[in-house]
Parts: sequence; C-alpha cells; structure tokens
Amino acid sequence: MVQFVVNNENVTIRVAESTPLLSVLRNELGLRAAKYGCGTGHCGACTVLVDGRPENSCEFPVSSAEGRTITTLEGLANADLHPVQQAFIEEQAAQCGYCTAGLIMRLIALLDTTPQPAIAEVHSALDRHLCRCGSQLRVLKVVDRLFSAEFAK
Amino acid sequence: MKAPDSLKANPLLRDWIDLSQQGLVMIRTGKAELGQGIHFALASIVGQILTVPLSRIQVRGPDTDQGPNEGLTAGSLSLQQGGTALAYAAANLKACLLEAASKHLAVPVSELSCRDGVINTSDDRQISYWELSNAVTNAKVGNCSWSWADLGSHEYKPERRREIETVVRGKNHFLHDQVWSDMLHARVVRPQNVHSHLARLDVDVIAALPGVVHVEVSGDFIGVIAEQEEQAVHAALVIQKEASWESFRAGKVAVRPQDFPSVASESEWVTAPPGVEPAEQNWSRSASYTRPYIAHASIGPSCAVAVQSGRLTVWSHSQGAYLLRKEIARVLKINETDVRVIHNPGSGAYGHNGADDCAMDVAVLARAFPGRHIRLQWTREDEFLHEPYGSAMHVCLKANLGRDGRITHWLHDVWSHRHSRRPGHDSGVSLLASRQINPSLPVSKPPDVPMPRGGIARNAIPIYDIDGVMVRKHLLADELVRTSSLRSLGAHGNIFAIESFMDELAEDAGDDPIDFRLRHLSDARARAVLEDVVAISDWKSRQGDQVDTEEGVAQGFGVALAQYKGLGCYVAVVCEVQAGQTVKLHHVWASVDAGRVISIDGVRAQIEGGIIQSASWALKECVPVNGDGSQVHGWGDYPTLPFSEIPQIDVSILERENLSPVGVGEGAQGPTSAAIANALYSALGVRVRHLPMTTDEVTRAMQ
Repeated sequence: MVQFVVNNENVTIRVAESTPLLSVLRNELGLRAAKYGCGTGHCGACTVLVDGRPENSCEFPVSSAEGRTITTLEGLANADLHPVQQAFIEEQAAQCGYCTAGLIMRLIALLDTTPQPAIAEVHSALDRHLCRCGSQLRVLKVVDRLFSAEFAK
Repeated sequence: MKAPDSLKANPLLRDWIDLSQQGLVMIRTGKAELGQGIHFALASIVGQILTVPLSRIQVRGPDTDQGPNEGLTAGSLSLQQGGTALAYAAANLKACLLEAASKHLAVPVSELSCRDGVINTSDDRQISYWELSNAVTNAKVGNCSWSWADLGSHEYKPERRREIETVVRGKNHFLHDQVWSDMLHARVVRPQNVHSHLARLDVDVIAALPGVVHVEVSGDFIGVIAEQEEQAVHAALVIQKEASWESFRAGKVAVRPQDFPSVASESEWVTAPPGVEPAEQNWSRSASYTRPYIAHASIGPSCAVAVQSGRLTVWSHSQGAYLLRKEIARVLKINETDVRVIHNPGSGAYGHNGADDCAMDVAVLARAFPGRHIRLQWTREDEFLHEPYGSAMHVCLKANLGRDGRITHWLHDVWSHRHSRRPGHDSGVSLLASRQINPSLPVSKPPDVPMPRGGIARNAIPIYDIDGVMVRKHLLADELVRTSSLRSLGAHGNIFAIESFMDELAEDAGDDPIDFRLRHLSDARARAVLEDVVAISDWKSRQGDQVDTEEGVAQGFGVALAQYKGLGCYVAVVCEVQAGQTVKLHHVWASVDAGRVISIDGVRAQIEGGIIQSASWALKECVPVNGDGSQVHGWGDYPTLPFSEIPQIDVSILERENLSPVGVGEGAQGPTSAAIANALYSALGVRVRHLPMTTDEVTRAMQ
C-alpha cells in the first residue's frame, strides 16, 4: 500500500511496489497526460513533478512516491492556463503533441527553480526530452517567451 | 478544375460535410491528422467557402464505416487530394443551400448573402444552413465547378490548432489514452532476430500467471492478454524467458549500403534507355553517396485497440485505414465488410511505422478472445526492432563538364530496397503477424512506386537543364530487414546525392554554387526560391567570410534545392555549420514555394520540422544492421539531434495565390541534408558522402 498526494488529492494505491508511477497514474488514477515513450528515462514523455522536481515517471517506482506530492499536467489545467501552457499555445509549439506534456512539466520546474537560466541550464533541462516532429525550435521560443530571453536565436 | 476522383466515388455531399447537428459543420475526411495540422487546413478551406468560423467546425478523420475513402494520408498529397475534394464539396453544398434558400425565401440566389451559417436577403430576412439541412440531405456533387482562385484572398489571423490546446491542457487526444470499461491489456513477444523461429513455449505456465486471460500462440506469433497492463507486461517478460527459439538457417550477411552495387538487384531505366552504353561515356567526375537505414522512431510506440463482437472493430493510428482493413480481412479470412477500422491519433509517424503491425497484432488477439476491448501497447524495443525502416540507399553519379562549364551528360544510378510496403497489397501480405501466424500467407513484393512520383527514383531526375540525363534504379533482390515508406521515400537520398554532386561540379567549373545552379536552371519557380534564400541568408556577403570564428572552429555555408517529386513544392535551403571537434549546424534558412498557402503557420511548422528531422538524419541517425537484423533496442542505440543542437531557422514563404496548394511535409528533407554536407565542405574542405555525418565519418572522409 502506498499513500501520496496527486494534484492536491490524497490517494492510496494497492499495487506491487515496483510498479512504475507512470502506470499507476495512467491506469489506476486515470491521469493520462504523462505518456509512455520508452520506459528507460531517455525521452521525457512521462515527466511529472515529484515534490516540485521533474522525474521520469516511467522508471520511478510507485513505492518511492510514499508521502510525496505528485503534480501532473492535469493538475495545472484549471480555467486559467499556467504561463507555460499559455506559451505553448501562443507559439503553437507542438505537432503531434506526444512529447508536449513532459516538456511542459520540465519547463514549469525550470521556471520555479531557475528564473534566469543560462543557456546551458536550458539545454541540460531540455536534452532530457526527445521530439521527433521537429517542434524543438518552437519549444525554444516558448522558453524565450517565459524567460524574456533569446535562446531560439 | 475537375472534381477529384475521391468525390466522384463518394458523391453524397453529407458524407463530406454534415449539417445534421444544429450550429455545427461536421467535416468527414479520409485524411488523418498526424500532427501535420491537416485538419486545421481542411477546416480553414471549408470555413472560408461556407463563411463559417472555425469555432463551428469539427473534423472527423478516417473511419471505414463513415465518410469518404481517400486512400493513404501520405506523400504530401493531403491538401491536393483531401483539400480539393472538400473545397469542391463545400462549393457544391453552398450552391445547394443557396438554391434551397432562394425557394424558401422566394428571392433569387443572386440577392442572397451568407454569413456565419446564415443566408440573408437584402430586406433582412434570413434562414440558417441548419434549417435547410433537410432540403440538402440527399444533395450530390453537381456541376458547380470550382478552382482555388475562387477561394479569394485571406487575411492572416493567428492560427490555433485545436489539437494543440487539447494536449497542452492534458486532455485525452491519443489512441494511447482511450479507455473502455471492459478493456483488457495485451503484449506481443517476437523473435529477437530475423532467422529464429519459435521452438517451444509452455503455454500452461503463461496462462497460470496472475491476471492472464489468454495466451495466443500461432506459428511464430505470441500474444498475451491480461486484466491489468502490468500483468501483461510481466507475462511478456516471462514469455521471453520461457520461450525457446531455434535458427532454421545460417544468418544472412548484412550488406553495407556502400556495397549495394555489388549484390543482386533488378535494374530498370527510369529515363529512356540510352543508345550508347553509359560506361563508355567520358565522365569528368563520378562519386558515390549513401545513407543508412533510418528509423521512423515515433516518440510514442505504436498502440491499437480491437474488439470482436459481431464485427471486428479496430482502432489504429495507421495512415491507411482501408488498406489495413483489407489485410486484416484477408489474414483473418473474413469479409472486409465485417471489419471496421477507425483512425485515432497517435504519435507522429513520418511514414509507415509500426502502427499497422500493432493493429494487425491486436486484430489477431481480438479474434482469438472475442467480446472485450483489447488494448495492445508496443514497447519501445518492439517499435525500434520491428518497425519497417526507411531503406538504406546508394547513389552513384557521373557527369561530364564541358569546356564552357556546363554539364553535358549525367548518369544517376540508385540502389535501394523498397520504399513502400504498406498493407493491403494484392500480391500478398505485408505485416508482421500476417507473416508469423500459422498458416501464413505469401509476403507481398509490391512494385516500386512508378514515376513520375517514384519510390526509389523519387527526385532522381535532376531539376537542372542538362542534355543527356540518364537515370537507372536498382531494386535490391534480398531484404534482411523490412523497409517501407519514410518521409520523402527515395527523394532524401537522391537529392542529398544530386545537390552534393552539383557543388562538386561547381568547384570543377570554378564557379560559385549558386551561380552554377542558376546557369543550369530555367524553372522560374526554382530560380525564385534559390534567389530568395540567397537574399535572406545574405549568402553573397558571406562568401569569403569563412574564417575561423573562434580557435579551431571553422564556419561554412552550403546550399541545396529541389522541387519535391518534380511535381510538388519548391524548397531551397542554406545551412551554416560550425565545424571544430564536432559538427554543429548553426543556422538554416529556407525559401518555400508551395503555391497557394492555406495555413501559413502550418507551412512554416512543416518546413521547420522537416529541416530539424532531416538534420537529425544527416548528422546522427543510423539503424545498425548485422546478420541478425536490426540492432536498435532503445534510444541509447539510436542518437537523434538533441535540443541543445537545434539550429536557428528562418523560413521565407513565396506565396502564389493563383496556383493550387501543394503539401510541404516532405519538401525540406532532401535539400537540408545536402546543404549541411555542402556547408561542411565549405567549412573544412572535406566532402562527406556517407550519412550520417558523425565525427567519425568526417574523420574518415578526411583520410
């Protein structure tokens, strides 16, 4: 039995301790914004926030979530969009959108922890994510918009 | 402009545009939304013709039970085919609505105007499209002719694709996210190399695992169905341990693309066979270029859902619902009408990835275990090992340069596997499960896509004015790994070779790469994009500018251009690379002529995406293949261009409002890879002819 908080709600889960958090979020809790991409932490499509830090939920055993606070994309989308979400819409920064949820969570964490990131910090955050459609340039424009910077140049 | 064939085959207008729901215009299209924004573009066309805002329009994609059959969503043809058909349907529907309104309001059509779905008279009486929907319910495509010029000018408004808001809000969008209350979860297990077959699997051991409801073993096909997803994952791991495989024959030898010309192939002239044997020509230059096998490598591994209850219904992100249905029916020995395939969005595919195979797998499982929805999620490893790759290619070019610096003869030989092996081919089956279940059906050997579109020889005929062009293609006889359509098919390899070779010839002629191309180019639209990209990249002032930008880093610029398929959009690209310890693509400029532009942001996004994907192919991507087949198991084996190496990109669009729109999804693939190679040469003086241009490959080329 594992107890934790997801998007401001207490949950109690009875699954094998090694079950990936991603599987619990999608199948037990019906939170499907985080995506299965690789299961090995390479692509970032499954990124969620654990106590505000971005984690690959595909290789994060649910037992490690005990007592912690998880935020998924669904936890942000109220009537008012988060500035990161708004910036993705303004820049139309997605094609198929499969990688989008993970990127949004990563950038929310970056915005919270590093309000004035150096380009190396932006790259080190985004290099944990893969996009195959080629919307990376627009994601960099999202970053520019959020941080009033010119990383896409 | 003639009505498209797809409209003649589906003449009932409500099959395309349905007004049966008050206030809503429901578009049904046979073209699938793949992330390319086609549904936004189609809605824009219909909205403009019917003068209805996008907020009133919904678009439904392919469904073999509803809406038109428009074949594949492929080949950058969705605007030409799907867009033209819907424009025609909208124009005809509008004519029918106006006629019905004219009768109803007793006013001549010429005195009516339309706005937001309401038809108005000059004396302020009105009737809405929806009030007239019964009157037009049986309307068919009529004599109302239509051309793109009728669309009128459009004002630029910020474009917002609805799908983007959906994913940004974390709402369900993908097939991967769909849930049915009775849904079971499945996994498949496949031989890990190309020459092993299943020898033994104790099905009872697997069937006794927690949650397992069915184990399907047929020939080399193994699938397991469980109540919970994690139970299916666990059962698949146990199967991998328990199954024993045996090799029926010695492993084949993998042939490197460099060696393609020395193995058996079926050769065919693409141009008229020459009178003189080309070998006897006096060539002033010859060179060979290769690209490796390239994976579609969709971020989301394939997923499919099926249920057998009465009929078999399959949800898939396939690019060809009808072709998939055909193969499913044939393999399962049921009527096509007893199978329904519904498209739901998946992760970007860029051609024929694992989607159809995954759908065939789940169809087999649903037949074996009827009554409940079964969801099959391929793993990352399944997708990397088993998707049909874009074929490796070898292009050998020979040309003769006259004393006046003009090319006088040109020979293009291209060796490759198939670039199209979609399901549903008449000569046999294509998909993995179709080959693996017992009894299996013969594997199709589809012919190469014929010219002028071409598969292997797509874009093998140069755009330049050259007398004595000879083009020959060689379809390799033996296939170690399965290959099929990858974004741009053979055009990528052919344009990479041609545009690299043009730079080599320009240097032989002592000419600037732009001037050399322009001297061989009479196509006005091609000249225009080339001149435009020269202007926006400030090419002229950059020549002679190629000094070391910093210690040990050399800067170089390269150009390339093509008209996709010789029929579609024109794209010219200039790349700037900075080459030091590594090759960094710094800046890309592109100029695009796609005729009339429907969605300007859509064109921009497709070109940006094409540039980034082509840069990734050119600099990073390669499916290593040995005698056991593919050796890619995960992203660790398959590097792609990371965020930190994304270049600055500037796209210029030369709109031609009086011409039909053409697709742009594949137009940047060839020119970008070639322009990078040309820029690398300009930076380092090293000609890299074998993709990918990794540090190792550049070092090899230097030696």
